[in-house]
Amino acid sequence: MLHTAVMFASSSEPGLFEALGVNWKLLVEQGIAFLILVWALAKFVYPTLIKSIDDRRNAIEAGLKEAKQSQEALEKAEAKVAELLEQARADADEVLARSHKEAAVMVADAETKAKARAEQIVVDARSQLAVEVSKARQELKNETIKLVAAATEHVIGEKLDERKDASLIKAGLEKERK
Amino acid sequence: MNSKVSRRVLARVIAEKLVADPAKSSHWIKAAAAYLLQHGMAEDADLLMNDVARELFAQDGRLMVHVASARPLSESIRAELQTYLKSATDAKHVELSESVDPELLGGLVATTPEGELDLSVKKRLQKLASITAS
Repeated sequence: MLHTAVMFASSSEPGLFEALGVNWKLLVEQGIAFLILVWALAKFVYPTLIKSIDDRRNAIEAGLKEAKQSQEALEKAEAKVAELLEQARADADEVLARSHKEAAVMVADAETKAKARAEQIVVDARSQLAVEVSKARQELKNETIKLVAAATEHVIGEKLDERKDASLIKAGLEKERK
Repeated sequence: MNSKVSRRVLARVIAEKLVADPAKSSHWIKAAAAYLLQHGMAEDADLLMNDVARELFAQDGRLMVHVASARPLSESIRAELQTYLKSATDAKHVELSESVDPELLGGLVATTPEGELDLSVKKRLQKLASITAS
């Protein structure tokens, strides 16, 4: 290409390019320098630069991927947390409901037992009272009987003479015979 | 009488002696009392007399009866009681020992070796009281 450019420059007659102020020699030298620059850049700079850019791009892509994964993990975690919170809330509601129910049952049971106990106390008190009354009546009856017996003994001792006593014995013997 | 014999054997021997020779009854009773004292059986005297009475009834048909009454027994009551006891026990003879116990209030209590006939007013009152109390 350099050869073609030199030949083209040497064979040309002064004309259009000279009229435009183009210096072929300078143009060729600048072209060669440009090509050398392009070659040097392609050989030493571009690979490193492209590699750096690729690494940077890969790093960014990896970071984005990780960010995306982290976002997904975060979303999953948030969803899990929400689910756990919902479950915990449901469990708490259930426990609370069960506690209310059990408390109501316990209160009802305690009321029933207290009522039964109170009734039993009343029954026992009445029974005890009845026993005491019966005992008092029996004691009064026994005392009355003793008084009657003592009075009867006293009266009989005074009224039972020998004739009546003999009659009493004969009646007893007659009764034994039968 | 150095060896100790049972109360029932002793009662049977005494009864045999009393039946065989009633005139020496006092002697045999004293001998029995001495035996009881000698062998430390004084507290069995009542039981021995009861056994002797039972043996006399078994051997001789003689019924020993103790009668306690509120007043001394009249002849008619005594005779009627003996008649009744003979008919009730098939005894040939009825011998009464009597005592007066005013606490009986009236009537009598006849005690034989086999039982007791209580016709006292006290007993009737006790019975009345127990029936009324129950």
